[in-house]
Amino acid sequence: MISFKLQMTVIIAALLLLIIVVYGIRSRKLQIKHSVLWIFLGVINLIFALFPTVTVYFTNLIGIELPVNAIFLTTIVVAYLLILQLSINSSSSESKKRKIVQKVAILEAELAELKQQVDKLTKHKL
Amino acid sequence: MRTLILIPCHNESESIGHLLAEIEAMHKELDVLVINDGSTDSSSDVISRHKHVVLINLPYNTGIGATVQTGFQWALKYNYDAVIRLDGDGQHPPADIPGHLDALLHDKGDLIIGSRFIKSHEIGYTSTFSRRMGIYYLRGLLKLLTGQMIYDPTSGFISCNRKVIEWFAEYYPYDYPEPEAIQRIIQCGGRVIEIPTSMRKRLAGKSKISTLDSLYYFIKVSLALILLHGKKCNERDI
Repeated sequence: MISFKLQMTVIIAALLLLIIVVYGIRSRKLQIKHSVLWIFLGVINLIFALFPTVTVYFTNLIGIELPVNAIFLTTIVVAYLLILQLSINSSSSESKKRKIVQKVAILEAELAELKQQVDKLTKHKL
Repeated sequence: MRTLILIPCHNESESIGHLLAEIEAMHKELDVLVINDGSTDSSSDVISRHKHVVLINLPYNTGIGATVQTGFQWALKYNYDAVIRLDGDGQHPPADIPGHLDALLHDKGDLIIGSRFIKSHEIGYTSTFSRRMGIYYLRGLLKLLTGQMIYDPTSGFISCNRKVIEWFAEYYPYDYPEPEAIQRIIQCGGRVIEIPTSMRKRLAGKSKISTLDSLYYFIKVSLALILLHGKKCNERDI
């Protein structure tokens, strides 16, 4: 079984996490698509801590010895998923950034070219 | 009233040309802006053949929210009084543009939604069962949170006045943005109304939304609507 103290600790930690995530979303610092896994983590830990029978059932189901380890296992799995999500995200923002930089550089060159031609034309007129 | 037709476009080379020709034939007086959201097909070439159309090419696929917001920023910068947005796939008939113009001209609302489902107007395009279920769900959720019944909360055939242009240029939801945008406008004191519209089958191509995608979509939209419920209008009040 899970000790009462641990139960309380997990409940408080999960609630804190959920409060921070909701605050982040409402203040537009966190996008919904990046919050789904965090909310899942908070909710699943809350369920495990509030209903120890669920934890025990889950523990038996996948062959973990101590129910408390089920909490650790799910937390670690979700944490890995979050890290993976961040890696994918950072890769894709890198390639997007590259495209923007290239486009800006090309536009700058075109603008300079255009300026030169305008200068030439105006000089002709004078 | 200076009005801009705003069309987001992602890989619609088969339908966008026909749509633009239709608009030009029916509404020569209106300015048309197409935002090409990183299409990998020949959309950009097709659009640039239409000389009356302003084309903005985004450097990569940014998603519908950011694409549409680019249009609102353009409308703000070039001082348009109103924007009418329709999809690049041709589902929204240009013949229904006058309904939007009329509602805008008589200031019937700040945000005007072209709705497929207003009673007595459920003709033409009929959606799939699961999509209709989704629309019932979003209707219920929006009604619960805002108190207003919106019959077609995912419609992309919308128009708005200057107040909403300013607001959308500042903040526009990113993923599948329509329901969240409606909620924000209502919560910020804006008037949202619906006018009937018909909906055509896509001129060409396939819809991009799969079943798994739509499940994830409903989770995200629900989270957004519920968690942002009651948020104050820190942005420019409308």
